[in-house]
Amino acid sequence: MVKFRVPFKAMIVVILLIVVTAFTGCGQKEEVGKEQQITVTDLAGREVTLKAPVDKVILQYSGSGGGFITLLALEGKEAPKKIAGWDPGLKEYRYDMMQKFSEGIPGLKDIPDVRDIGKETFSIEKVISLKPDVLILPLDLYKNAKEVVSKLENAGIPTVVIDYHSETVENHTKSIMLLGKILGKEKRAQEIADFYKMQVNKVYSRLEKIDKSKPVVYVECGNNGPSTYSNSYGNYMWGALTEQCGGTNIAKGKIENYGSLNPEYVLKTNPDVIIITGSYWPKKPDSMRLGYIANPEESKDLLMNFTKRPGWENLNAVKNNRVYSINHGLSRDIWDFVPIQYLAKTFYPDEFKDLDPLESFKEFHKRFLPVEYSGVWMMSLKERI
Amino acid sequence: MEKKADIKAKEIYDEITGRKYALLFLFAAACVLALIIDILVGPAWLSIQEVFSAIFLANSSDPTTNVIVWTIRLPTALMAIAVGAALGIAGAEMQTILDNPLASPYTLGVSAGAGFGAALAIVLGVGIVPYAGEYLVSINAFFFSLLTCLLIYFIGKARRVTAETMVLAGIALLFLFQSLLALLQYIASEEALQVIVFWLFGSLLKTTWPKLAVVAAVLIIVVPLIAKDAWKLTALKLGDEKAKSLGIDVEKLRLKAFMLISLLTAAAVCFVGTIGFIGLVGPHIARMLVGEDQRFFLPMSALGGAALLSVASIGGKVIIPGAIFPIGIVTSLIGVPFFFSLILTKRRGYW
Repeated sequence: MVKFRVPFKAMIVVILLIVVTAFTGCGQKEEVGKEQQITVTDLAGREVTLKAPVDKVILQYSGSGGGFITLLALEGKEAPKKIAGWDPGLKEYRYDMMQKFSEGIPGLKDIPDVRDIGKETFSIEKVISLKPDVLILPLDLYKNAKEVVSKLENAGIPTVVIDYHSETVENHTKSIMLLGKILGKEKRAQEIADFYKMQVNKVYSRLEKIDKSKPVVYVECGNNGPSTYSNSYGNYMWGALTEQCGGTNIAKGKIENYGSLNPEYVLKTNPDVIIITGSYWPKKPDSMRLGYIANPEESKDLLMNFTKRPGWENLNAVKNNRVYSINHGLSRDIWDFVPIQYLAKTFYPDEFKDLDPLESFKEFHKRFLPVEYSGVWMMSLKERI
Repeated sequence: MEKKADIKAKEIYDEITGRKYALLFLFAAACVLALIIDILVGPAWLSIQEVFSAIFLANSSDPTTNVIVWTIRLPTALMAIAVGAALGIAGAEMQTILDNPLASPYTLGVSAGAGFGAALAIVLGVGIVPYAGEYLVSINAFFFSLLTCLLIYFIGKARRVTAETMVLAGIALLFLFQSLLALLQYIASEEALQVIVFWLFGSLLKTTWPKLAVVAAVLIIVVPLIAKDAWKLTALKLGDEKAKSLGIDVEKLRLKAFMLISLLTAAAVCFVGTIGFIGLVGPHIARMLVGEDQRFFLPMSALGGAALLSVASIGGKVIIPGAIFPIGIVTSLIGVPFFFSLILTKRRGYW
């Protein structure tokens, strides 16, 4: 025993060495951790810890308020590098946007397609193989995708929930800030959020003071063309926006989310204002066309065709030329201040005379988007307001 | 003695046919009543007077009322009758020639073919006829339901034309077109998917006068051709061998009737979507009430189908006034309880 005794001094040295190494080791580790791990509260009220800033995200609802436009505003032309994979939404039903964006933004076309989580075609395996840092999920998709979310969590991929679909200023701002935070672009996010709040408050602050009778409004998605009455919206999407902007939505109470109204009901309620939403649906030549690659004459003719539906010549909206169109893809996303301003202005032209939604939209492009404004996004049968 | 028996038999026969005529009359009256109510009911809640003055004194009433009655309610209500009758007849004759209580345009894949054709137009914008515009979906649906029938026909013809071959071929095609349809739904965008789903639910509200004219024309051409074979078709129900011994070319009759039914089904489903239930239940109701004699069975199936679809059309408008409630759903919801009540109250087996 005695023979093997280690000298006391040497022991101290060894212990010190171990402690120091351990401390430096720990110290290094902690420092790295500080940079990489943050905890955020997402729009489903979950606390999520993830590495930040993230390098790669998976997106869903790319064409309809799933955070893609926010990412574009935050990251500019670098956006595709941050997207590990997405659903085919933008490609499939925002034809003109896909066209325009892929012209100006290299790499957008090559983003891998991971399909749609809502359609059960979502490939978890593919997502894992793409090694993303986070899955960005809209709130309404999250509700039905908890199983997928927990599977991805087990694979070390956290999910952050955002929400543009409830169309509230609060959730919009929170979503913008949340994406800014996880991408390490908080300053830019703050600018976007401030811009958004400023734009919508131009409407909401003034709307409270208006004491006029509300116009009766019919909104229809122009995807089916004039021959078939397509979706109108209950307390959802365009329907909710209509009510928020001071109109009376005739579909409220008739339709829960979306669905067609009976043509007869539309005729009988005799709306003061009709709004046909437009986009670029390539398979339907008589659908309402608006967006980056639309031209004014064609769009006007298409909108005119809707007013030739049987019986529409007797509607107040048609008689008084109050038939309008606005881009379908503008709702429930960060740029929905444009339709909010546009709807308010069509409902109360005198009160919002000085408001120019088109100018706001152009400004948004100039300040935040990596592509330039083009095409036609909103129009009336009278003229562009 | 002999003479007395004859008179007695004639009396019984008159009594039975008299009862059947009465039932036919009753159902015809029910159809007319349903048609009138269907025209009167709608989310605009027009008064009876407004509706009638719009119909009979066309230019005297308010223009909106005129449009509502003439472009929406009349064609839609008449379409319900026409499509109901067409599907009723198609189902009745399919059950007859195939000697199978489950046969209907739906179970033999004809509707599935139509659905696939419609989806093809909706998802890919691919039409059989170029520049078809708003009729693209209907023409595709029509074409593919006829194609389904032709396939069944040729499979039947290649082998000996027995009822079993045709039923099996039809069911195989049902599955084929259903999976092709599912494939299209799988690749469809959210918006297109929704259009497909609603097309499959069926809707009468897309009716226009020209569409109604097409269905009516097909009905007017096809029904006399089927009615001409009424006796032969009645005999067919006795079985192939017995029908043959009565001098009927069973295979020819079967194929001819099949082609006529196909045309009828295709015309009906291509405009309103797949309303599967009518073609199955209309004929069963008719059979329970008047039996197999085609002279009564055929018109009764038509009237039963028409009345059922017309009532469903009213129901669809009453459930959520203002919105469009899919007719296919209402048809089953209204038809199934009625059908059950018939099955449960009828004591003897009727098939």
